Amino acid sequence: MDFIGEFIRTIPDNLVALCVAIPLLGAVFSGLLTESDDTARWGALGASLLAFVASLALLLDFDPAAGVQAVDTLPWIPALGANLAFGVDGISLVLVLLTTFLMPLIVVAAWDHADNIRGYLAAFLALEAAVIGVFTAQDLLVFYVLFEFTLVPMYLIIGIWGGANRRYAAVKFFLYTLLGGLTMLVAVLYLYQAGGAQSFAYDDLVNAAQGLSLVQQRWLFGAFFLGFAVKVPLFPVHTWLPDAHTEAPTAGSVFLAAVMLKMGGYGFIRYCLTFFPDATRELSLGTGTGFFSVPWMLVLAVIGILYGAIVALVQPDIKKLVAYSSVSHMGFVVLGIFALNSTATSAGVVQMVNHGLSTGALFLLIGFLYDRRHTREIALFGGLAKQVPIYAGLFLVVVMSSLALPGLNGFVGEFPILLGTFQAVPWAAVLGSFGAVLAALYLLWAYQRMFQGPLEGADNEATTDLTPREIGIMVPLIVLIVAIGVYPQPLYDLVQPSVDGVLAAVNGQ
Amino acid sequence: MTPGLPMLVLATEAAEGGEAAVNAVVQAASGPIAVAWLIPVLPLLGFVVTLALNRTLKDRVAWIPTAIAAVTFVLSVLVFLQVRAEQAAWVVDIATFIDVGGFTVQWSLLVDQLTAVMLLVVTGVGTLVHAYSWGYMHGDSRFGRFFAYLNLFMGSMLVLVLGSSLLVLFVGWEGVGVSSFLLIGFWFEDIANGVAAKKAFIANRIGDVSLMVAMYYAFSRFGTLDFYTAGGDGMLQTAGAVSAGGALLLALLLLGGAAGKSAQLPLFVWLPDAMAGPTPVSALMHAATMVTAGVYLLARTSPILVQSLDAMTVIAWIGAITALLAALIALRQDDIKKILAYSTVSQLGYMVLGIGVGAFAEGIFHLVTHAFFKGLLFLAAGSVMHAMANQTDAWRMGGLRKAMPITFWTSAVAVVAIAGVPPLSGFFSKDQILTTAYEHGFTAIWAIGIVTAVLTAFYMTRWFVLIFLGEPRWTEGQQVPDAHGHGMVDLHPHESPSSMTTPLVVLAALSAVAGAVLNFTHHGPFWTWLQPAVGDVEGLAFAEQGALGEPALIAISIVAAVVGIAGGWLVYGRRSMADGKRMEPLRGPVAELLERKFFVDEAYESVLTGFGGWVANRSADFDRVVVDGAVNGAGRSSIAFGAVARRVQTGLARGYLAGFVLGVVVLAGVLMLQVR
Repeated sequence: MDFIGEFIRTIPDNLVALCVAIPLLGAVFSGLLTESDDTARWGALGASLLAFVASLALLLDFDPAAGVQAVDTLPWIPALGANLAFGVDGISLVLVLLTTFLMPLIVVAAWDHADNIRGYLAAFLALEAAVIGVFTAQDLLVFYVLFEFTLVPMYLIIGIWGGANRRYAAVKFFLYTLLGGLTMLVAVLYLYQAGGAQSFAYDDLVNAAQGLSLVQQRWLFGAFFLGFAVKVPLFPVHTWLPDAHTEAPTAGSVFLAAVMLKMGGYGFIRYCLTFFPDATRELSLGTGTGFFSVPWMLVLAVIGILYGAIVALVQPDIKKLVAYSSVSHMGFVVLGIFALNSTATSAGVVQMVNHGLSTGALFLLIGFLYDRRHTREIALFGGLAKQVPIYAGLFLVVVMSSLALPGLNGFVGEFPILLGTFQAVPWAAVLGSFGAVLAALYLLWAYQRMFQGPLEGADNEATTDLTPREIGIMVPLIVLIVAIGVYPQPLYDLVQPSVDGVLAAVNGQ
Repeated sequence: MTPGLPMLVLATEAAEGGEAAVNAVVQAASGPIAVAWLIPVLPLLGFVVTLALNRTLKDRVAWIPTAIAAVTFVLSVLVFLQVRAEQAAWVVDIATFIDVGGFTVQWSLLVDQLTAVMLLVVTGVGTLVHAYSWGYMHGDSRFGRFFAYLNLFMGSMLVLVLGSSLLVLFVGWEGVGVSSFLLIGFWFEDIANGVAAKKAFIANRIGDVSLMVAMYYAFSRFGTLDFYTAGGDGMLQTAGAVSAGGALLLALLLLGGAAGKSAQLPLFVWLPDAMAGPTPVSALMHAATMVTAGVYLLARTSPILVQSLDAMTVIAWIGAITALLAALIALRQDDIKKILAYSTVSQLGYMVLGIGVGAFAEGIFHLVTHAFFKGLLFLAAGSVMHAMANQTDAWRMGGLRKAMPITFWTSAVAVVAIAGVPPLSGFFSKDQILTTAYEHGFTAIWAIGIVTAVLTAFYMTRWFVLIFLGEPRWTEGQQVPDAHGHGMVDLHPHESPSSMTTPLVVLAALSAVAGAVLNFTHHGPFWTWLQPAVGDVEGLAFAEQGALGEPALIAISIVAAVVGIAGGWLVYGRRSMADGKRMEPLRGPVAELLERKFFVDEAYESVLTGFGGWVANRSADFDRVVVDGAVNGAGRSSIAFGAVARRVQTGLARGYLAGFVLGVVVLAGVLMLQVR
């Protein structure tokens, strides 16, 4: 009994570790320890809800001004000085909250998934644990291992439970992100070696990185950057995403778009910016000479915004359209992060949350429709607003959020990104703004083709509206979409102090 | 004084024509202004509640939004009275919106003389349109939903006019865009309506990019997007500190935003298509209120505009050319709503022209009178459609005078008002804009305005004659296609129910008298009332005024109206129009050009869907063939490599190995380069 009492007393001190451990235990339980599908479902839902509660408890005691906090450390590989160290600052915390908030919804959405539900849910829970670990790791080796480990469950989710062309998509996804990751591993090892660090602890490596020359910084920046750019994904390393999304099952798409892409944005801030400040300034704002007088990061971001949107315009498959829209929207995130001012970079982080909610909601809705129609071909739909008014109404709200309508969440991220970027590199903000026009174009055009016009064809006439369970999944998302749109300040209060800390380092203050 | 006619008592403290007073900026702590946030919040809540209760309460649910509209009007009147009693720019802070890294925006309201005018117009006309819709939308399968959308529109529009910063204004600005999207596409079963809705939203978004960039730039110059602050560092209070070039840029960016919402060149193309929405929507949004948002924006930011005479000149020309072009197109349209739509574009051109020549108060004055007479014209057109089984082709009408006397008489008032015949309202507001243009040396623009006035009187007379006068070009009981194209219905023209005719009568009364009462002389009560809220043109180096004095200018305005009406009457009223469209006087390429609207739509179509579609398709090909092709090529070769290395492996491990090998190659490469 003492042991249990002791355990309960330690809970408040180990919330971050719990956020990682609970889903992991849930994965083991649902995947291995039970034979019953129903028990696995409820176990998975329970674990995801518990993790959400733990992250909320973390939020309660969180002090935005205090930097990284609630750190848990366990020795791991003493010889290398690697520890299982987890902790959160504001940037980590909002992404953890995004993950733990979405996970129960994903579990409920996957509830009736017919095929080997236990393994399916276990894969998601393992994924959740790994992603939370990525967002909270305070040790670079832990970060790297978990960053790579996320590939495995997602590879399985696409490769086992995916669509017709799942093998191709899964291998492509795996290879692409793995390659990006490997360049990063090289950089990690080099940094450890060349900087003379005593451990892989985050702070030690930051110190080690300070001794690097500008040329070293450039190379290492590039290596880290590639790993994260594939994840985000940025043009031209984005083509795994549309295939992965089209082949992934609904819940997989939701998790991929809403959470996994954010590992890239998070990596940029946490590692590229802090480890290599001089290279970051040069490559982001074009403060160098010659090749380095071009703000390359912003150029890539703007290309991503416009290119993703233009290609999205002509996609015949609604899921592919949303996948390309992610390329465009994540371009905004990258633009904000590398604009390197408090407004834009904080908004870049907030926009990661917003994109997670809007795109997650979109993929859920598309999945609901796919369950009914077994197609995602836009041309096969038409006039559905008459047949499924609730579905159409929710779809429109989410579309409006995605095209950054003021009053909904997308705007309160995109607008400060652009406004902040304008203060640094005006033309990048102006060009990026046209992403807003294009987003309206491809989203409303798709809406028009799917939901407006005459209701024709037996399939369209037989489509049924959302069930209470599906509405129940959407309601929390819609509530947050509106709430953040009207009152985003709590998010900014969490994020800005941490972002300011990072920027202070970048700007050498 | 009755609350119904608060506009009639705009007596102000300042002496008529005296020095423009500057508003003190005050935090509102008490009185109706302190709770002015209810004015936008109630309709927004009404939208949600109405949608939520729609299924339970059926059509009765429409009482909620209608009552809310009326309440907002009463609140607006109270707010107006408080501003009248204590003239100031009242600022009401509610909560933080965004505060990050020095970029700070509050959810806060600004109530001054300009806001008060806009509040009364929006809630006044809005309430009338809610009432009218009870009759017009009767029997529609989505009756309750229509009212919910109307409330969403009103809430958004009220955020727009109450917002105390460019960003809060922009929230409302986009909100009205969404309501417009929903209402234009209200009968979405017809894909054309959906297309029109999307077109409106996209055209507006293009303007919005301009407005967004305006905000970035304004923030970089002023460090804030607040219009006025008690501390005196609002962007409109420190506008004088901006360089002439900066003011020019900012003003043109604002103009870009206004051109989208207020349908000016080159973004006007969405408004005529927007007539696909139910007619009460056309009246409320696409005539009286929403489309005037751009004019409001320019008037609101006029302290910036006056920093750059060049910018104002550009604005004036855009307005003048839009006014002329749209009036020309209106000459040869056959759809009774399309005629009014182009007329609206043209009248908005007058307002923008007014802003450009420094006639800020006059422009807003025309906004108000136009809300009355154009709102009335649209509601009358709706009444006619109600009678004619939703037909809109003027050539299928004629002689409706007897069947619908109230619609006939109220329309007559509106036509005379918009034509600019004294003493009706349109005469005063239009003439005062043109007089100011002339006095400020914009003689060419004044001349364009006069020509447009002749055209206006001409096409409105044509509209009126073709609908109401002459012999009927229809027969009682005739079979006509119903609105949805599914079947045929019998034609029985009749006067509309009183829920529809009452708003007509109210608006007719306002259209008749509002001009004379509000601002009989040029610098009358309305003009004086607005002066503290708009930019001061005193110091601007306008060109020399021409030789004509004010009496001559007024005479010319009156002659223009009379000539236009007489011309319209001679062409369409005196002859029998029984033969229909063949009786049109002008034929040939010029007529074709007008009827096809100068081919503007076709030009946009070919550029956007033609060239734009080409770009998008080629980009998608590029993505598939080049970007992805490179990856697939690399993938194939590496998989082949892996297969050679370990033939017996599964696909997973093979892929992993191949990746690992490639990674090692990259690793080695990096190290070698690093060591150099």
